[in-house]
Amino acid sequence: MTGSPSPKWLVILMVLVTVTGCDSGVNSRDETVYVVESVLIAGRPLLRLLLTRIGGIEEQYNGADLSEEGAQVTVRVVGPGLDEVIRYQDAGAGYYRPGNPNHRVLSLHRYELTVQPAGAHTSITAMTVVPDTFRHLIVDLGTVEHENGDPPLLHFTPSSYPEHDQNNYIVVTEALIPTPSALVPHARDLYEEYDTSLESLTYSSSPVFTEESCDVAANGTLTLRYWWSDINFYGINLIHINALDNNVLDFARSYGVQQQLGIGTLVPGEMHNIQSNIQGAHGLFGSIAQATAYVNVTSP
Amino acid sequence: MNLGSGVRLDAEAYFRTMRQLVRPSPFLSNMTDISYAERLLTGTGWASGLEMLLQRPRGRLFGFVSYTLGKTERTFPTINTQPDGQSAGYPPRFDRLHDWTLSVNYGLRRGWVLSGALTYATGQPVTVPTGRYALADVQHILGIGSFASVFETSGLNNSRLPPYHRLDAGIRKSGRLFQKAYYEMQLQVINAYARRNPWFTFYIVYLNGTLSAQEIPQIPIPMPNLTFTISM
Repeated sequence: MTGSPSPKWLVILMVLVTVTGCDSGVNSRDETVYVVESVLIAGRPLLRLLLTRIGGIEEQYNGADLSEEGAQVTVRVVGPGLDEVIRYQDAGAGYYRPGNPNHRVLSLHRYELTVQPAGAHTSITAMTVVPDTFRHLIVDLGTVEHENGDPPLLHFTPSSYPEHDQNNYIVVTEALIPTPSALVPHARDLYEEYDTSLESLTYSSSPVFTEESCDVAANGTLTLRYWWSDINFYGINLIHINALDNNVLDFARSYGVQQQLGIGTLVPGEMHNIQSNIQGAHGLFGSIAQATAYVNVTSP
Repeated sequence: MNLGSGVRLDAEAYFRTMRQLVRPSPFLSNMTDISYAERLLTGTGWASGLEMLLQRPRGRLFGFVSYTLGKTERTFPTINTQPDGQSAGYPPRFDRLHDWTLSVNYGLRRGWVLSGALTYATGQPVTVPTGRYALADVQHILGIGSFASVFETSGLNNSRLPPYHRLDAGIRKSGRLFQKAYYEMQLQVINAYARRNPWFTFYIVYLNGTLSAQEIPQIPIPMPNLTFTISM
């Protein structure tokens, strides 16, 4: 570029820079952000639904203070030869109970949720297709000594899910005797040295896995080698294998990343919202099929 | 554009769009059994800005002032999902509205040169959690206790670190060595006024559901630097 400068051009440029030059702060939200929680389990009655609001990050979290009452909640069940609408009743404290307690969640059926919060202009919608039921081939895994030899093997039939070649599972271990005296050594360290609560140790979970992580028999049944690290208490432990729909799958994966914050595929300090697949709200509306076995773990 | 007295001004404005941008999915911590189609997200973006360079390359006092006014955004499916289910654009980590550099050199006698470089840039985008919630009934479904917090943000990169600025100052001498080689000796102090520029902030989620933020600064003290270069 050649020639003498135009002062007018420079002045315009400087004004432009000044006008556009304000660095921004945090983009906060003023409107109410709702949170929905309800998970359907194939073959079981519909569970209650919880409707709350997002709490402030600086405040002590208290779900009761954030509960949303007076909402209109319906679930529409759609499947072969079936189109039924189930209305939920306000049970107070943000909970809503299904008006039809006899309804059993139907596998491979579609459940469409609509929530109209009191005073809100738009409704909350979500949809889930329920995974097919499956079962443990051996429910009673017997008595095993903790960390003495191989962990028990889980034998189960596969679930199925529309449009998925592989099904997604998660194993949740639930201790039935979560007392301090029943803690296994690694859990005792967490409890005594890191102030981890008994409640948080009562349940432990695996990462999401598919059939590729299992041995597949000729008849299609699956075998998964369990792991000792999920056993936190001696005594009876329930081992739930949960087959996940897309919503629970996305929630579980993204929750795992959020709680690790910066590990995995994120750069340090990067944080993402949970993938909730709910329009107009956060939270979880999804479905699972669940098979439960139990094992008695003794001290070596 | 020549401004006289050996001073030159260059300016350039730009706008471009981008397609087929690829980034890893931020929602997967464990890649086992996951297809590449799920691991990678494909998105779009745009960038626009104005770049200016005012320089005086020669003379006893020489140097330049550069300035960039820029804005860029990325949009990927499932990232920054809005209440209507659509993904909103977000500023990537390298988005800087302002980026200034002032470099001044003053020649003394016998090959000595005083130098200083001042930089200023808008802080990089970061995500600050703006809310939290807890789930009540998912213990036997996800193994998450009812105490556990789920954090919510008003959007990816919804905030910015404080502005980045730094002064580097130094003195250098150049000359010939035994009539056969050239040398340059430089003593420089990086971050002369000990600015604590944050590198990044990361969050730790504790088992009781609370969150703590920790800011990691770049070199927070003046850092001396001595170099000696010989070239044939």
